[in-house]
Amino acid sequence: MKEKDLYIDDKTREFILYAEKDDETYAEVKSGSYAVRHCMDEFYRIRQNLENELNEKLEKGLISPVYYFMLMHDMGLRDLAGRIGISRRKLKKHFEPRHFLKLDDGMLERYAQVFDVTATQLKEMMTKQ
Amino acid sequence: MELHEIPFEHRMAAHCETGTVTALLNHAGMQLTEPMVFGIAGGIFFGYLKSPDFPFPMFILRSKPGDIRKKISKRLGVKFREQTFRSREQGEAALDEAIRQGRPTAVQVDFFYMDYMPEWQRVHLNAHYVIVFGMNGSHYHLSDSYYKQKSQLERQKMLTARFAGGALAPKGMMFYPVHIPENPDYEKAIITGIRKACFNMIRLPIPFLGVKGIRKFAGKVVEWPAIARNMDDLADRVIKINIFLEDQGTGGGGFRYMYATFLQQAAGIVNDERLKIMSKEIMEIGDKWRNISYFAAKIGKSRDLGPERMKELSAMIHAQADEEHKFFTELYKLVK
Repeated sequence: MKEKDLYIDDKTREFILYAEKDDETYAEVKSGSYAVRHCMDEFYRIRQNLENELNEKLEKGLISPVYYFMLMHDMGLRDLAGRIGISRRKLKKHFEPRHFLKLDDGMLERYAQVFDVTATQLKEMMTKQ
Repeated sequence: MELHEIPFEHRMAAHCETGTVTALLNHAGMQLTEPMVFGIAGGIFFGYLKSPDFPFPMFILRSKPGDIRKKISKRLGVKFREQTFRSREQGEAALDEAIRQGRPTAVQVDFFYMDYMPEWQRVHLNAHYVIVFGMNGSHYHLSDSYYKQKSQLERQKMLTARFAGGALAPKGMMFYPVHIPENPDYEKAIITGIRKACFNMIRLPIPFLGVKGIRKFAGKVVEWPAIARNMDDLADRVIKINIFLEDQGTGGGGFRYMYATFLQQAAGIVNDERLKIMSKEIMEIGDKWRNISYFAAKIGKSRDLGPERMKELSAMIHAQADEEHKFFTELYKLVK
């Protein structure tokens, strides 16, 4: 694609693409992102809807913060289990509030580190109900 | 406070691994462009993957993480010192020591902890590479090819990022070049790189890799509405087709633009005009990937995701499989 057809004028996020220059050589071009320019609102809306849905479930005691963050961070089951250092089966248990409430501080800390929050925040999310 | 900073030129690049390897080689005095590193390493690829590591099926457009470094080392004779660690303390000490010795060092990290990036961009992905070129008591100084300028990261965050678990866990992986050959055989490396890439695209007998992977993707995408959690999730996944093809470090058109640039530069080095023609062809294939990414973004945004539209998307991807099969078969003949 020619540089002028490919270039997107948006400074929110700039990155490197390769395109055809005027002299027909291919070289790098710094451009904005099509997705950021056109789909950002949609992304925020989708994210907000997901957050609302999960918050509601959390308040009703249907899910634990572990499940909440796994979906918010868009993580796979095995990936998250690997990061925490537990089996997938055990991880699934922690999706349930009654099991989550029994977690010791060490385990909470491991979750907190992966989700980039504090262990206290995780606990508070559960006790808010 | 211990302060070290190695003079290092920061440059943005399309992709983190090729960008990192290129920057390290350039720093060591070997002048190579990013597309050349990508092409010699035979980085172009396709795969449609479904795994418990991902929340949803996904596709990849390049060879597996770490492969670029390994193949560059093998084909050009560059030697890297590569280390992984069992303990965080050892990993931290080794990185500090490399910086003290004046060696800019690439580290594999979980992208999520790169807190200088905007929050909406940060995802848990263990295959990100950055270069550490300095440190003070509390921070490391970084060159991240996705970021517009040099940046800094807290020591603790860096340790967490280097020792994150899960899929493709980095285990503190770090590397730097220790030997640069004086007269590498670029011609041979280019031809091998092209040949291996063609083999991976059309000959691998695995139904979800290479061109077969594109076909698999085309066939499976119509099933996405049935496996998505809800309409929001489906829209999100379809818009992400655009992001995977364009934004996530591909150089546009799902790495096909970068490969076109490589072939054009390679044509000059091996003195073969036919590669120039092929570079135009793959550029056009890249344009069609870009059309797919625009189309996906549009239908995802407008929620126009009925069976007809998904079939249309599938047909576009199928056409790509045919085009790429033809392209890589022709290219394979040139380098056999």
